[in-house]
Amino acid sequence: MGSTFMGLETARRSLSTHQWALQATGNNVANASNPGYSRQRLTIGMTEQLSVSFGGTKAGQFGTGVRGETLARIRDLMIDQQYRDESVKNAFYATKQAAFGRMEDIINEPSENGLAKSLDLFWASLQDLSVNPDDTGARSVVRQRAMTLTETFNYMSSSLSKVQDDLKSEADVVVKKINDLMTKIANVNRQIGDSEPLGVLPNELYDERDRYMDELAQYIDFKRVPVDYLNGETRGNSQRVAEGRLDIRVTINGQDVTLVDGISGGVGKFDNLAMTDATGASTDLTHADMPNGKWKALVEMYGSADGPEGADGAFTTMLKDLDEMAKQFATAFNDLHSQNKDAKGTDGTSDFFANVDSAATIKVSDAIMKNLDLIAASKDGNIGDGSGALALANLKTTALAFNGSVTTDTSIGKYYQNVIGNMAVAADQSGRLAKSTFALMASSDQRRMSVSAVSLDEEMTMMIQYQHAYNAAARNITAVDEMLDKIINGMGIVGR
Amino acid sequence: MRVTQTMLTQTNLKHLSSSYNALAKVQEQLISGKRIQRASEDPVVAMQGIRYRTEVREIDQFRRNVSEATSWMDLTDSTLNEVTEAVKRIRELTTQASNDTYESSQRAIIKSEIDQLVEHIGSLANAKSGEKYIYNGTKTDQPLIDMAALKAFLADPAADVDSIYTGGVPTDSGKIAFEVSKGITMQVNMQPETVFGRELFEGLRDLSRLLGDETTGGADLSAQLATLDTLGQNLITERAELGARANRLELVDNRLQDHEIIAKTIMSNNEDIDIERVIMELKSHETVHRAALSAGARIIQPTLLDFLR
Repeated sequence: MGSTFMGLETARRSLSTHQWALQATGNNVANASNPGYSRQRLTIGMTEQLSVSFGGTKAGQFGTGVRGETLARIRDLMIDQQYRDESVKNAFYATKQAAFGRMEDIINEPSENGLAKSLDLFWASLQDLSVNPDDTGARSVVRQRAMTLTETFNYMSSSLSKVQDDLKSEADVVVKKINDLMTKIANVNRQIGDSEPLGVLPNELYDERDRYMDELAQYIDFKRVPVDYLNGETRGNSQRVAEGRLDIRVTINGQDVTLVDGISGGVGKFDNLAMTDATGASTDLTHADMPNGKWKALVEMYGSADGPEGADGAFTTMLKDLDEMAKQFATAFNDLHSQNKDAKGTDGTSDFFANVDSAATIKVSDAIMKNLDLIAASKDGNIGDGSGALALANLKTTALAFNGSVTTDTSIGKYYQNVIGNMAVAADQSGRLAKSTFALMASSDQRRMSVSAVSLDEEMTMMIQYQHAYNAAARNITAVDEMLDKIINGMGIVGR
Repeated sequence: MRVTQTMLTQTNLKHLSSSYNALAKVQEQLISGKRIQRASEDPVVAMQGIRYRTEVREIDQFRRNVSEATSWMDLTDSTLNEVTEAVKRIRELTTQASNDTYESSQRAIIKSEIDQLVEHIGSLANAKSGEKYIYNGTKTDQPLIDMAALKAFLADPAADVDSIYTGGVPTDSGKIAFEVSKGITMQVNMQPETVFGRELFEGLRDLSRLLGDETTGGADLSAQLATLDTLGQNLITERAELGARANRLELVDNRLQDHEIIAKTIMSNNEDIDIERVIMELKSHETVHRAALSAGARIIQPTLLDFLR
């Protein structure tokens, strides 16, 4: 037979358990708009049962009430993984798209202010000079247009270099953030490792660690490897649902490299393209081996000088293309110019363009800047002959030796069209992929929220349920109380 | 699937943002009149665009060259016309003077008129288009005829004809050619020796000398008529040649006009918007956007809280 006060104890447990459940619900509601928060549920279980003999061979097991088992967060780690995989890809393409956007803003084609227009105007001014070779005005226009052209080259080159520098420093910031996040994850790891053996589930710490990992997943592709409780063993009083400490590993060239070591607490770090793993051993990192993500995208755009593949960065390539264009064009132009005769009938000995080796420095030569007569527009040395200027104007359609070889039909205009085309296709592609990876990322985020986010309606329902359970338990106490009251105060007073 | 408030809010925001994007793009298209603002929006349109624009500007330039050539040829034609008229007048005067009833004093008057006409022809040879002498080959900064030397030449029967030309000889055969169409150049000037050549001035001086000579008879002068006819014939041939060239230039110009329309149409087809279509798009995006806004307003508001007591 059970104790007299058994019912009281059962109801008390119910009161306390539901109070805790209500507390968990309250906490969920409070965190409803906290983005990294996973809703928590108090798992409610029965307390030990009491075997009771009803006399003779009859016996039964009576429940002795309820208790909270675990306060666990509701989260699907698989969806987390999917989300982070997509997030890495999205960050990669979105970063590229943004950088290409800045490149396109500078190149500004098709428009009425781009390099193509400057070139066209320059050719037109040479045509005008061929018609009016004796006109100082026409010469002056040629010089002005040439200045516009060289300034366009200069402007594009310097602007691209500036954005390239910006991207480089952005990459440096990203590396700092990666290192910072890894340190933070290691810290949380340690705290988790400290608290789990005491039997608690550090849900806030799990959430915090997941937030850090979500952030890290924009920058690099990594693997999250749990290292505690691998064989179902626990440490101390650790609960079986405890998540334990994690390793953060990246795959470099097919090899897993541990950057955050869950057990030892070691943290590796990146330093530009050098990398130190959790044990302090340094590993060389080439651009090709870099983990995917925003960092890699930035390196691919600005073109790292220290990586062998780095020289092919999109901005480096664009700058090289511009240099090549300026160089081949100006060299061929100077060559033709030297075959003409200037306004005084002397051979065109002064170069038209100077500093022709790079788009950043090309300019109209000082001699031409000082003296318009040095523009050589004539073949026979007479002022009225514009055939030299015409020959210069026809350089427009002449195939030039871009990148060392004359390809049929590669005039400067065609070459520029190709450069623009290549850029546009690459930009378009990264734009498309950024869009599609964003959609995938958003849908896995939705699925993740579907599991972990707080639903106010749901919490409200739970709240009502727990409240009623609490009230009912209180009523139970009243019932037992009245029963005991009967026994204590209402019995043994016969005849009083 | 379990759906929470946050998810609804986020989905709504996502769709609102994407419909804003669509609206922004349509707005850009309408304002600029161009289908694309950035090369990456349509790489093909961008690349073709550069080419078509270059083509349009090229045609523009050729048309400017053609108009320069036309004005040059018009001037050449009008001066040649005046030269023809002058030669015609000289022939009339010569015919008149060859009449034996004319005395030497009367012939002297005719001589002085002819001398004036010759000087007039000399000044026509120095015709200028703007700042350019058009009959001196590529030496457009110098006149063809030295007028003082021409006067001296007329007065002195022994003078060398070459002395009247600036620089001593009319040998500058420099051709001035304009590019009027891709790869097609056209000569716009006349060669000095064919129009204002030695035989013209020598013939006229001989005539002038004969008129000044008291021993000259009517038959001597009549004999000069043949020379004048040859000179007139030469001029006609040159003018015919010039006319043919002008004709060709006109054809080129017509072709350029057609080409310009075609090139502009192609450029426009490539990069300009179809305004009706874009406005329809705008309307449909607007509808979607309104729907998203009103759905957001309805869905996000109520929770269970609104219905509990």
